[in-house]
Amino acid sequence: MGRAHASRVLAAICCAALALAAAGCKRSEFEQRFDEAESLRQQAAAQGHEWIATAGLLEQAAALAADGDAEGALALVEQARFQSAAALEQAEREAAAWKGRVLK
Amino acid sequence: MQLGRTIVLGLATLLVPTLALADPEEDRQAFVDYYQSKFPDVPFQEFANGIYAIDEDARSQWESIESFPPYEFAIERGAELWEAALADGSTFADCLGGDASEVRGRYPRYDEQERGVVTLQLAINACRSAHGAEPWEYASEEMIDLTAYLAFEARGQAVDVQIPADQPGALAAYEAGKRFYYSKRGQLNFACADCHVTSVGLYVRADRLGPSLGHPTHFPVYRSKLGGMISLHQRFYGCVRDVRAKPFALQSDEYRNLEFFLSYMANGLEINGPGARK
Repeated sequence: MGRAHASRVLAAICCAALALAAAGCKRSEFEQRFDEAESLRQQAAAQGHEWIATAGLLEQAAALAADGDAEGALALVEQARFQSAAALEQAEREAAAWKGRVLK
Repeated sequence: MQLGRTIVLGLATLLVPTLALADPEEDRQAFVDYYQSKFPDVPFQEFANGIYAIDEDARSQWESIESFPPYEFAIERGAELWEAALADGSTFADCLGGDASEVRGRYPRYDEQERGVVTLQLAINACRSAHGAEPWEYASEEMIDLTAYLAFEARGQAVDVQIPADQPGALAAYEAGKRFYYSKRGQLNFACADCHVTSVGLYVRADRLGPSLGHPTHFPVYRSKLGGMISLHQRFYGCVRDVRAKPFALQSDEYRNLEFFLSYMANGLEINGPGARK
């Protein structure tokens, strides 16, 4: 994730936190799940296995949260978290599995 | 008993790295053997033509296209760029060598000082930087045109990628490229090998999947569906995107290592770029 993207997401999270707080939502739940998804995404990326839509889902989630749509934001964060976890699992599996496909 | 177990474990420890890092030449022979047994009627050199080696209909269309090659203008512009003066009055010949026909065949190669694979595109930009010019974007028309010209000038020469025994970094780069090629990635959980080895020759919608043997020989290529030329790394980018993985940057370590591996697999095939594809 580039610096510009990270800044946009950070700004969106700040807005989202305020919006969710104003809406009486559980600000910490959104932030916690967002952070979990982002951490998993970064771990998958570090192993070269990030999926294409994950960062976009997190951006959209932050934008929805900033608009006060807590339910929609959490749904997208869940999708991103699922994708990140699956990508990381793929990376860990492939660390050894690729060798079985080498032509001999 | 304890001593015997220790010896066995010791031998296993010594053998595991050896098994994991196979001899590139053994890999290449297995690669060639696979495609030749899959397509026994296709002569080895024909694999330089990619999908046209195994798809008669596509080949027929390609041969018609070759009557008026859509990449011809790129070659002409590339020839002008080759001759043009850089910022300090030098030309590409001053740093890439005076004979344009001998440039393409030197890449990709492993560079001990750079500790990485140097591709033709990296060498071109290094030359520009060394002579006071701004590096080109890797997908720019100028970069594509010059590489098209250099490929054209090198036509008929055999791919000859070296992995010198005294350069462990070269073997590591080769292994990294090989690992990338065989690793599943993305939301579709596909490896390069899933399409171009396991499923080679099968249809994806209306198109047949081409063999990886010979893939790097004919780039850059003119793609009819795009109405323009693309580099090998742009093709890598498209494949990675299509399996819904986050693509890597053009000329990233990942793609340069992959190019190094695939080029080594293509050793002995003739350089025949630029090419034309659907």
